[in-house]
Amino acid sequence: MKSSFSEYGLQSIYRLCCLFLFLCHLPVAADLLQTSEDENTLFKIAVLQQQDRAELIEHAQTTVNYLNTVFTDIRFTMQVCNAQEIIQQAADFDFMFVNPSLTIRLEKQQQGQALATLRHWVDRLAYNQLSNVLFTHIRRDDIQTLQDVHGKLLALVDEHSFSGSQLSQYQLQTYMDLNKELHLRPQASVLDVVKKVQTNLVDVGSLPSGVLERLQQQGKIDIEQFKILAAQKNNELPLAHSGHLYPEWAWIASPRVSQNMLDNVAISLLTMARKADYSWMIPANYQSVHQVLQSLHYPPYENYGKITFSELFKQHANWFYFALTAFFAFSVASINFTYLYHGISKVQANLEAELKERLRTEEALQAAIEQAELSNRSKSQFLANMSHELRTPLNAVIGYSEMLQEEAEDLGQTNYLPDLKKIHGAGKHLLALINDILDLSKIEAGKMDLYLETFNINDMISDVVTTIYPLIEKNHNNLEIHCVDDLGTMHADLTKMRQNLFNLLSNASKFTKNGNVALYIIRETTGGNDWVVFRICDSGIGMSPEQQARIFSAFTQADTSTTRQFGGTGLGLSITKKFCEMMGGEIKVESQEGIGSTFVIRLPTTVVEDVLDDDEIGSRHIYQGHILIVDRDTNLRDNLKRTLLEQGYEVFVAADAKQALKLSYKIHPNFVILDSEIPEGWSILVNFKTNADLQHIPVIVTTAEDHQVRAKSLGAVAYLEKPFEMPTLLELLQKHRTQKHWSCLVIEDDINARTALGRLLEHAAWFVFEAHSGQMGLRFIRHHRPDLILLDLNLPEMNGFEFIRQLRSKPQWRSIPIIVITARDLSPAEQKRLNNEVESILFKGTYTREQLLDTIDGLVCAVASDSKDMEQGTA
Amino acid sequence: MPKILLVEDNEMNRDMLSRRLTRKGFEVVIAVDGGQGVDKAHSENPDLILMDMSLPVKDGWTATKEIKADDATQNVPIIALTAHAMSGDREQALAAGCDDYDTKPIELPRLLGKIQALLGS
Repeated sequence: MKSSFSEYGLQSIYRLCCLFLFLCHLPVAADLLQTSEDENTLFKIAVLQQQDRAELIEHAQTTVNYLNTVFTDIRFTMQVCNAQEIIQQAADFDFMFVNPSLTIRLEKQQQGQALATLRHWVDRLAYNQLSNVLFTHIRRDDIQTLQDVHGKLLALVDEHSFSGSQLSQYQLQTYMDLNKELHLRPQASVLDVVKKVQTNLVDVGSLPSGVLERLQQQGKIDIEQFKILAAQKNNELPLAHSGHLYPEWAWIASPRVSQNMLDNVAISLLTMARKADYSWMIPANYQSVHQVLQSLHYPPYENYGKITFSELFKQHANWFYFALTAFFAFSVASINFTYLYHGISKVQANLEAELKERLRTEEALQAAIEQAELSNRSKSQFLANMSHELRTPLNAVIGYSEMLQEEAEDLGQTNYLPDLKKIHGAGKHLLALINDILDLSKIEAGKMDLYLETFNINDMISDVVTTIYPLIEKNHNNLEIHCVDDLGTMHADLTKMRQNLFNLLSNASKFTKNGNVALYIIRETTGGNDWVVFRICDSGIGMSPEQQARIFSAFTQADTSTTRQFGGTGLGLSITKKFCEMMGGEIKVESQEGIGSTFVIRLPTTVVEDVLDDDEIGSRHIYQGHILIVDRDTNLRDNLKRTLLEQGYEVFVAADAKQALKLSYKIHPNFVILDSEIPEGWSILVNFKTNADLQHIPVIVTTAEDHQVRAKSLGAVAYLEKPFEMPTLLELLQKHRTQKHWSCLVIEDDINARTALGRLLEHAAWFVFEAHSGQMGLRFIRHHRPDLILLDLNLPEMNGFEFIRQLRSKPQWRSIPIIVITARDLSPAEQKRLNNEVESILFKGTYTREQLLDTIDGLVCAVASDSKDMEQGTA
Repeated sequence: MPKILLVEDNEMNRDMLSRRLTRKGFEVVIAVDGGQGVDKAHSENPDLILMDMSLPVKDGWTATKEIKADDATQNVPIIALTAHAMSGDREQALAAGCDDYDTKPIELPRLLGKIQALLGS
């Protein structure tokens, strides 16, 4: 990468020098041209046919005619081809005149070399950059920003056009899934695109910059009838455009052209006078185009960030070997079977003894695990203490070396300065290392706390950007931030969030030189939750799949030589990962060696604290039911969610009709809070009230205008005018609470048995929560106290007896009824123990569906009277 | 020559900071705990106080509150110095009456900026 950069630079300088010589000594240059005869006297030029820039074919012809007049003994011919033909027959052509995306492809796959970049003239000024323009009819009030293009029809001429299609798709992919939420409508000509938008047959048009102005000049359209989306204003391109600026088309030479010929053609192109609106200049930097193609997974980056076929094959090969080995082992085992048969009687005798031995081993193992956990905790504690102790003397080393530098400077003894700087630098590196170790050991010791607060996302970003800027500039990188101006607020740990972004951005700038670092931030709603997604992309050295698998583990960078070359502690990414997980989010990486890396952090907009401290558990965690909030206002959603979580509701959110209905079928909420002003808002209400599965769910409608009559007539139980007070809402929820839905926790490691029990209870209108181990069960109860527990006794990690012991040791959980469902025979001692602790014991395979439900019904009456007492008690 | 009272119990930190401030043209007087800090705020009549927060005898928050409660010393600006960079530290220091706040390890240019800002006014 780096060498090609410098080569490229040298060649540009070389060509410039040639140009200079040519201008100073025209006769000499003429000599050069005459003596430069190649054996080849016919040169073929391929010209890309891109419908939305058809005028360039004319310019290509003008250029070819010009070359034919300059080189008297050589003939140049031109052929108009599509992209596919140019790639397939690249070896047959000497020169190619193509758009920026094809330029990258030819450079990367065919060793093509850009000789010159197209320059177009507007009035009396020359420009060598292009862009795309996204536009809609001036009266389309529903389309104001790029976000509104979501789900709309987009007219364009050619899907393979760089400036007419690829740039627009690149810009829009921040806001939508291009495959599902954008509908392309290819047209025969640029005029058709404009007319379709004008007559509202499609919603939005996408064209190369400059096309609208040209049609206006020709008197074919009135540009005032259109509205440019995301319009950019800058002096570098005085034409309407929506995106960033990218270099114009390029004149590429194939590797088979001799160096001599190459230089002569380059000189000729650069000295060609302006013809119509076009001329040539020295090749531009096409680096920015790479990022567009990577992001869209277009050639030559169609496999960027994906698993390649060969890797897949490798994976399958492993399975194949595994299957082969297993088969072989199985065959050997079968042969041995006869021998084994004879041994069985002997084995049977030994079996009992072994069983006893195993039980003893298991006990010992359990003890060993506990011991190991204990010593791991004390290790982390020790590290945390040590780090504090180490910091004090280290601060002295750093401080005194800094002070000595100042003194040496004041006294003019500058010969000491380099050594003092080294001491100071090493001290600071050590301090960073210790700080990271401290963080990591705090996390491992469970002592890292979350300080949750509500903060403005844009403010946090600008804060981080200011801090990171010196690092970006150090390696001559370019930092781009892509986000809307009003991302709103999030509720999370601000310090840890800043540290995460700082870590990823400083990594990106450390491993990238003379390249691009970009940060994309968007909000999204999926799976009933609001998320903020941060995407950090760089065009740096990248990583192999093996390296990617390692980077999140502590003390490992991509490989050991990285530390020597780039410095750093190797702890940053594992800390970042832990922080993300603490906040209920995740981090992912995509990378390709030599191309760049992309890290993506997804965090919930409202982080919920994981209550692990047993002392804090109180009655506030009594489960109240599921609530679904359907609203487009993310701030309101966040506020509501926080309040309702505190009240003991499990909260889900949806931003549109589709999500709302899908979630409702899945979770069967106790309440729906619906903003009728979202698109299709009223029809959601109608849908709810006409559907047998959903009509019993009370819907509370909120609007900014008075629609009380309409809401009531469509079946809403209550109506709230925005802005409303939280206590009013809580009162409504209290008032319209339908008969309480009982919740049951099923703890069972066998998935089939668990699902069967769950389904049985769900049919009887219970809310069912499932856990596959005792540990997970306890963790769940800390958040939501269920009304009933169904418990299997044979569980991994913590068995049923231990679960009961731990559960009953907490006063507030002592009254939760338990039904044990087991397949094992119980000893009299076990039976006695259970009788004291649980409500009922059922043996697997012996009870019927009705028996189970009867047992449960009996318990429910008892629980109902208990919980009534409790509510009266708390009220 | 502006006079600075440095209240700091760690000997090395004290030595370093006082030498560096002296070289920058300040007169520096020293107190090694919170009690001494309050006494010297009276007797030495300093132009500014640099106050470590975790101090023996009387901690920095208490010392600051006492200095700010006394009519004779309440106008002397105080900058809090703490080793922790927790988000609550700054608020706690300002709540105790400190005029500004800086974290250790000290970055001299940054601290000098804060000192100058307070002395200038």
